[in-house]
Amino acid sequence: MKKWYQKEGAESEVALSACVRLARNLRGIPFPAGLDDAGKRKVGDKIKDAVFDENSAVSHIFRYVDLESLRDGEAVALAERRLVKAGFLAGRNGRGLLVSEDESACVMINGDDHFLLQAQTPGFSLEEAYAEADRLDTILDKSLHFAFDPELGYLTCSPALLGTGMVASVDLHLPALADSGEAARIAANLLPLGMLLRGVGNPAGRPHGSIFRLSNRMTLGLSEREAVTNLKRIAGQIIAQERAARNRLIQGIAVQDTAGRSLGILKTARLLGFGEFLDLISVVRFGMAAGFLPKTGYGTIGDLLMRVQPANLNLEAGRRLTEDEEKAIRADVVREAFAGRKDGGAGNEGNG
Amino acid sequence: MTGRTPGTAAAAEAPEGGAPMLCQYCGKNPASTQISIVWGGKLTEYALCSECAQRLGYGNLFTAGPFGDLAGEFFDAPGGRDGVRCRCCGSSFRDIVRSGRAGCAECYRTFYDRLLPVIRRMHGSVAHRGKIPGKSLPQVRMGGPLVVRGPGGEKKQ
Repeated sequence: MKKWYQKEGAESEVALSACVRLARNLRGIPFPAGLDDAGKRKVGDKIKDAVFDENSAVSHIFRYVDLESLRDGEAVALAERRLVKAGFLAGRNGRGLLVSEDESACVMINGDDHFLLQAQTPGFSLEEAYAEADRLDTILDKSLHFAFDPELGYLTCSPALLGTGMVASVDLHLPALADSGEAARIAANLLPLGMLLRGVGNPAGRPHGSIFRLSNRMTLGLSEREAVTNLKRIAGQIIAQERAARNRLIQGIAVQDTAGRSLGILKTARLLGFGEFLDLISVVRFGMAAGFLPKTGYGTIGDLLMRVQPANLNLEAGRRLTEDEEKAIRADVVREAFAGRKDGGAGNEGNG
Repeated sequence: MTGRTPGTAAAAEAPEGGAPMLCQYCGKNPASTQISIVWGGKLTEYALCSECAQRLGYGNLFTAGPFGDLAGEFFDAPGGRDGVRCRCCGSSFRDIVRSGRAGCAECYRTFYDRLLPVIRRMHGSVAHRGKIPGKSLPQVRMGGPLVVRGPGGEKKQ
């Protein structure tokens, strides 16, 4: 079965993926930060019992991963594939993950909240992600009876998530807006609207890849529908601005030259660092969307973005790689992905 | 990049007697918030000042930012130092202020009156309008005015 990120979604030229997270808690039990390991395991057992009950409508969807039993590299690989939040890896005792086969749906157990349900889709399909999260939430609430107050909504560990408990986000590829500095201005303007646009990567290091995450911050007083509609509308505006900025940029021969050279490096390099890969794939993706580079499917690029991350490469190799080995394997994987696509595209990467 | 809900000042305190740790993003202000990210195949923690934490999307209820310095407001609130504890998890109101988190769902009932003004100020509302358990979520429909609810109430654009 294909993973969700190997597929291509709507507006993939700019939108990489959509994600909806719903934070939920069990009644009458302290939140995970106030539980010892045994207490967390009891919560985990309760959730697993509900999911894998013989009458459960979702037992066939999920498999369970015990975070305690993983090696560090395996756990980090989960975070790289966006199946767990980074903070979920700090203190893994009593924590678990339910994950679907295509990795589009998962549940983080005993993070900040007892239960964090996540649904992801490729491209700009925010409603699909939301519908799936809602469907699973509705099913599991029947047996888990999540903590809820008619006035304050779903009761979450952080008061910032009270209400819907929902954080919806869209990952956007914004090379033109990042290049012009517009992305930072847009981010500042969005804060008062209760939305956040931030670069994906290391906040303390140089940015790579021009990938930004747009997410909602308001959860109380807005319905899920309103929050998703708002997010979709703002994302649509940013996508339109990025397209306009790209149209201005592609007039210059220098940009086309840079994109062509970047593709040349990806096709021929023997050593590739992850940051370098992100910078190059960003320019190539932009060149492909603009039409002056041959099209490689966005699903192929989405797959690379996940697979060639450091911990995932080590996991695939089945051993701890040296820095040079990691760079060499990354270069091999990337070369293979771009090889044999001289026909102008991997046209078989639809949603099937 | 994802980050856990950051801790508050205690998370990035300097060793006793040492100089305060500076924000690893701006390098200017004292760090007050710790975030976790995965980068380069490793889990790394960063200390940020409240301003950078807010700007980068790692702020929380009790760090200064668009919502103001709510922690100070809490400490000064009447009854902020009484001995009431949550029956379910044992948290005091001070515990919630210190961590920026409730101890359990029951805490919201136990400290309802004291939490409500801050929740209202933070969200611009204390009226849940979303999904109710047992009922399916309404379908997402595109179109209609952009509804913005934040500090200062609701605006339509």
